[in-house]
Amino acid sequence: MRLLTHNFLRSNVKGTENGYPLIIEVTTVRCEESPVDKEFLLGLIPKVDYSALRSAVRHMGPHCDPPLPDLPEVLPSAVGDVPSLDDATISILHRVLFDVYLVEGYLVCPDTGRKFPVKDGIPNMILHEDEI
Amino acid sequence: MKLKHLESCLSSLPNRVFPSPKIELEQYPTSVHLSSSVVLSALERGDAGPGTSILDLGCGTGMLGLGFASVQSDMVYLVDCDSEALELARENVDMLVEEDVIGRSTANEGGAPGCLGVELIMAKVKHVPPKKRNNEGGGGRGHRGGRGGRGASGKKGKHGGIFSASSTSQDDSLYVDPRENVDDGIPLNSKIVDTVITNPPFGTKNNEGIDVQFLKTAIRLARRAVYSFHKTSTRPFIIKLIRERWGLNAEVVAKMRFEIPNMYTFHRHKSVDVEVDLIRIFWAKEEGSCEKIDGVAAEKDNCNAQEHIRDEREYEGEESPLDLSGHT
Repeated sequence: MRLLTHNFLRSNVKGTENGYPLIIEVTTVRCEESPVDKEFLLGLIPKVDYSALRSAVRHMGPHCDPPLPDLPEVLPSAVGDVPSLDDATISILHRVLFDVYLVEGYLVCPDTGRKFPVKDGIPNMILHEDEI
Repeated sequence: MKLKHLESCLSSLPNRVFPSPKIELEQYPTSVHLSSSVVLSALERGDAGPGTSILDLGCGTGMLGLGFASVQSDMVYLVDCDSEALELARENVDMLVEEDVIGRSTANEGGAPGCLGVELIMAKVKHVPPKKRNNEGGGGRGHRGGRGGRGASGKKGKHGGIFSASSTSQDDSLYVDPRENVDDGIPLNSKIVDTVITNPPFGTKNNEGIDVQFLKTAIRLARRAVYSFHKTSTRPFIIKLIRERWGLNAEVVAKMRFEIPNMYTFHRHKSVDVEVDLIRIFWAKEEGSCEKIDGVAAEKDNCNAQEHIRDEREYEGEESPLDLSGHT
């Protein structure tokens, strides 16, 4: 599971108010380098919840090799159309969104503490009967 | 991409069928030819390919979603509630990664754009069977709408058609704009991909209306268009629901025939042919909205106004849909 996917996922267990963003508990991560597609990334950034991405990077960062750098607190002119980003920022964003994977671990609901297991890179978001 | 090329790409997948299909999930294979034709229809309409992201809701072994990956859609998400299906899908993904259909390596940087990646998520569409009114009378026997059920022969009597499947109930939830944020069991924010493809369960007496629930979730997740399969016998109901109740556009893209294994041992025939439509649901792009993913309920108004009812003839007349009968 990439952090891009984490950015879209929320908890909908019974009793959840917001359920977002999910806390990441890391068991295993995998890193794989892929070429940066600048155009694609610039189109994607406005659709990403940036503060959720930052928190995911904080959870995942120390487990990666080399560790992920903290993301800047805000992106320049991130509101509105295509953000104007320098190449270094673009490559960091690409790396955190696409090149690091949570292979084993948990996604934890911030409201209820319910743990959703991630196995073999697939988050299991199925709820039990009494959680619906 | 040519049909033949796409077909040969999908034919190379190791898991094209379910070794032990789960009847309650209505798992049966989508053929290579059918998947390829659906993907190319979406490609023609600009709903797939480079620059788009795709989600396959109820992906099974991933034949449809991976077809979209094979035509260089940027990102593809495969969602299913069955871990075994996702394992099969995963093996299919691995094969396409091996063949460089999915994933870009730094080695061929600057080469042809391809699918960046495929992500798998295990989640289940929540289905609350609609409440029936006691006084409704007739038409309420749900299993008519089922895939293996009696009404499946495709000979649609007036009532077996419009009033089968999901339409028996006056349940208000059916009419709520599907783009509103609701808890539909799928733990994903709204409008996260351009296009959603879904081959939903058609429902049995135990889960009547589940096809419409899938459709609603699909619409919530998409920014641009949804492709969904529905029994032809329910076409008037489904089209009317989409156009008049939800204020969205709908067109029948293709009609086909599914050979569906029967659900219950007491059925006389092993399988039954069901006429099925591929319906495309689409809406105008919202102007100026920056589509924050943390989707607070969609601003629905500017999509609603336009051409409520395109024309009856579009779904009465059968001239336009691609005919894929005989290729299940």
